[in-house]
Amino acid sequence: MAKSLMVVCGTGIATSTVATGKIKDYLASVGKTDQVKFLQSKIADEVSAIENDDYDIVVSTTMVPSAIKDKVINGVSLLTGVGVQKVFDEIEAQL
Amino acid sequence: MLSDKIILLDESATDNQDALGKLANQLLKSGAVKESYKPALLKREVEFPTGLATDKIGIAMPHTDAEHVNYDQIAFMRLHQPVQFLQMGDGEKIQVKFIFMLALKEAHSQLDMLQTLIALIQDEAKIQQLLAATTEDEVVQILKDAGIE
Repeated sequence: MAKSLMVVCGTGIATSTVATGKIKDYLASVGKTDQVKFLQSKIADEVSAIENDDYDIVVSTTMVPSAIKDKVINGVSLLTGVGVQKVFDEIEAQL
Repeated sequence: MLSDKIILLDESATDNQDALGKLANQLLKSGAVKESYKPALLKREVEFPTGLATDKIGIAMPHTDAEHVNYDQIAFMRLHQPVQFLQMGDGEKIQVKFIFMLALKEAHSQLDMLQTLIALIQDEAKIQQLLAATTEDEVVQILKDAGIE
C-alpha cells in the first residue's frame, strides 16, 4: 500500500508546493512514484495529526514544534539545493 | 507576476521587518494586496521565517495567506547592505541580499513559477545578473528570461 507523505510549510501556499514537486520528480526518477500518496498542508493544522502518527512520512520546510521534531524530515534543502540528496535518502528510508 | 513592476534596488533597511514593510507598502499601493497583507506578512515572518541560504546567496521569500491578496504578484528588493533573516526550517541566522515577496491568490498554485524561482536562486549566473542590474526594467527582463511571469 502507498505510504502517505505529508509536506507542510508555514502557509501551505508556496514552499510546500515546491518541495512536493521536487520529491515527486525524484521519486519518479527512481521509479517509486506509486509508493507514495502526497498530501500538503500548513503546519498549524497538522501538529496533532503528526503527533498521532496519522501520516507515514512528514517533510517540513518550516520550523516545527519540538514535540514533533523527531517525526519530521527537514525539507529546507529541497529549496536551497544544499544537501538535497540527504532529504531524498531520508524519505526513501521510510518507504 | 511582474506586471506591477515592483522592483526596489539597493534599498537600505534597518532590519528585516523594515525591509519587508517597504516592499509590502508597494504591493498595497499597486493594489495587488489588501490592507491586511502587511501586518499578516510581518507576523508570519516572525512565526515562520522565510530566509533561504543557498551556497551562492542569502534570499528571503516572504508570503502570507491567500485571503490577504487581490491578485498574483512578485515584488523584488535588492538590499544595499544585507539584513539578517532567520532561515526557514532551522531558524539559523542568515544574511539576505535579495527579497522575493510573493502575493499569491491561491494555495498550491503557481508551481511552475515557484520552481523557477527556486532554480533561479541556485543559479550563479542569474544571481550575478541580478546583482549587476542597474534598472528596474533590467531586473524584470532577467526574471522574465528566467521564466518568471
